[in-house]
Amino acid sequence: MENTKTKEAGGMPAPTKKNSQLKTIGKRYLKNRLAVFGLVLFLVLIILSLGAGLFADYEADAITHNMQARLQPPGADHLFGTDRYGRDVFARVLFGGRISLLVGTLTILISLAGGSLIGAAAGYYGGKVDNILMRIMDVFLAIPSILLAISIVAALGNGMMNLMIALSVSSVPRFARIVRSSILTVKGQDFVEAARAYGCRNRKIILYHILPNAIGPIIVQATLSMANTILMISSLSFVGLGLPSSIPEWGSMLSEAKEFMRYDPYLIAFPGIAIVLAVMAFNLIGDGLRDALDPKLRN
Amino acid sequence: MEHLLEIKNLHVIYRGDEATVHAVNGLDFTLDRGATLGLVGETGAGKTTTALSVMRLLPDRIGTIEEGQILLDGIDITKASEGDMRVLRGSLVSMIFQDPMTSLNPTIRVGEQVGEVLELHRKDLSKEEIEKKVDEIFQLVGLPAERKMDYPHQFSGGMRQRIVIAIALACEPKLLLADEPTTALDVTIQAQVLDLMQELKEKLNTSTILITHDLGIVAETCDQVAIMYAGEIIEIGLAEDIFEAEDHHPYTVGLFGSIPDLSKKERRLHPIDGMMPDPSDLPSGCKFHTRCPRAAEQCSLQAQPLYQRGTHGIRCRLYADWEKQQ
Repeated sequence: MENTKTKEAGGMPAPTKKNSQLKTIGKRYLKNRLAVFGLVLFLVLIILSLGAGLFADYEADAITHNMQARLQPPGADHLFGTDRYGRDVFARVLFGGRISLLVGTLTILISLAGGSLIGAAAGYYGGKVDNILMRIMDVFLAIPSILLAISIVAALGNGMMNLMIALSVSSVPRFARIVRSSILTVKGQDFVEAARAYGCRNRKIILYHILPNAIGPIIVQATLSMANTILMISSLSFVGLGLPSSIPEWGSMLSEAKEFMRYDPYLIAFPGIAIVLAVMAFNLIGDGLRDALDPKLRN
Repeated sequence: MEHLLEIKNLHVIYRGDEATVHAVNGLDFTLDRGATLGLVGETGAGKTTTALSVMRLLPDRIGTIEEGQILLDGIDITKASEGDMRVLRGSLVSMIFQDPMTSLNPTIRVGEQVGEVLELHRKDLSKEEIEKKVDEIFQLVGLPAERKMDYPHQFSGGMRQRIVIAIALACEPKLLLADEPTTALDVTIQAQVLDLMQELKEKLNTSTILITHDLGIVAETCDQVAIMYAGEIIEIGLAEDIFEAEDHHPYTVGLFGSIPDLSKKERRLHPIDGMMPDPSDLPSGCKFHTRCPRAAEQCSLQAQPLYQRGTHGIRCRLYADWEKQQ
């Protein structure tokens, strides 16, 4: 810590030139070791899953059954061992990461955008707008999210697109509520009134003055949801509603491995560890970002 | 010469769940170009409500202008559209809020906050020109221009109020509403900020309405003084009329009686008995009669008009021999 501080002071004497907001936030983020660890973990996961093709062949290793090599323990040939159809667990975990990260990220982006829009409108305008929007959200919240997701997938059919729609619909209300309540706490503050007093438009007040001040809880919600979404994808796959079972996915791997838990625990350990690491990475990144975005927590 | 601001018979109410609050009840005054008016009164007298009415920033769905006219530079504020108001706010009329600690956005650099006003109202300026203008404004309010890259929490209270003033005056508005601009500051900084406001006012020829309950500040900075009680002006005049003349409304007498005077040998202050009446349930007749030491029977029956003598007006039956205003 001491080291970084002196470097900071020496390298950047009194910021006279305009450096972008993003740069300072990045700098503050990088001072937080846990957050950096989370980011590194996330990047490793991304590289491993995107670069999965370099380590293994999708068709041959992760899809094709190979009964001669079934249930082999971890070793030099198969780093994480093989499953009951002789598929390489290492390859499946890597390719499974693609699904989880891709579907999870897109889901969060969709529900973040939708939820922010609805929540911001409800919180800022209040009154009738608020009532109508939030009562609709309440209807969705009244149904347990996993049930909602299951029924949407059941209605639309299996597939990645439908899975994302199902997960987004069930997490938009949560985002809308969080965003609305953060907006409400910021909306009453003097600087919002001051912004109106010098002629700012509603849209600009929401986007420029209110949302940046309400970003903390929203980011925490986004990371928790990211973790939650990864678990939801796994859960849906676990009950056979996510993606076709041949496609490698952490949840369906767990589901298949549960019968072999006693004698071949590695089958359940590796996808499980992958889920834990992914969830942890997102939580650490979220915490780091929250601290970095808040100028009052500087230094 | 035409007045910059003319408020005629302004009535503002707040609709609550249980009661309707009559915050401003028939307010009349005019403000000349370049003049400073001190709006004085207790908490709840309707001072801030008056300012918010001029800005048209009364709380949505709760506060409404019931009656009356506000003419600002010839524009009727009560009839202007929301879009027109947005253009006026910040360019023609600005407001300084009470607490500089909360009236700046903590996530935006102060320079950008000053620049934002210019961006909104001076579309003719390029990015570089705005940047240059921001530097000038910082200099004007006595802050080093390098500090525009800092965030509000890196400034002290007095410096923040300078930034707030910079934002308010960036587009050189004709009217500045200062709502207790120094209440949140300590005394030495108060003097600096008031001096700064005075200086800028003269430089830019801005009219100011200074809302305060500190008569000392009013005496130092204002040309005109209006004393408000329960949503009405009960005494108005030039600063000399209020601070030097002999004739006063009994409430004004009470206000002066409650200021400590170091030159007199007094053991106690003389506060005004009682409390400001509940604005959702105002007394009949003169609204001050419940607390007035000189109240007579007729005071509770009949509301008084403003009696005028020269520049000095008093709303009290004791001055019924003065010239009557509507």
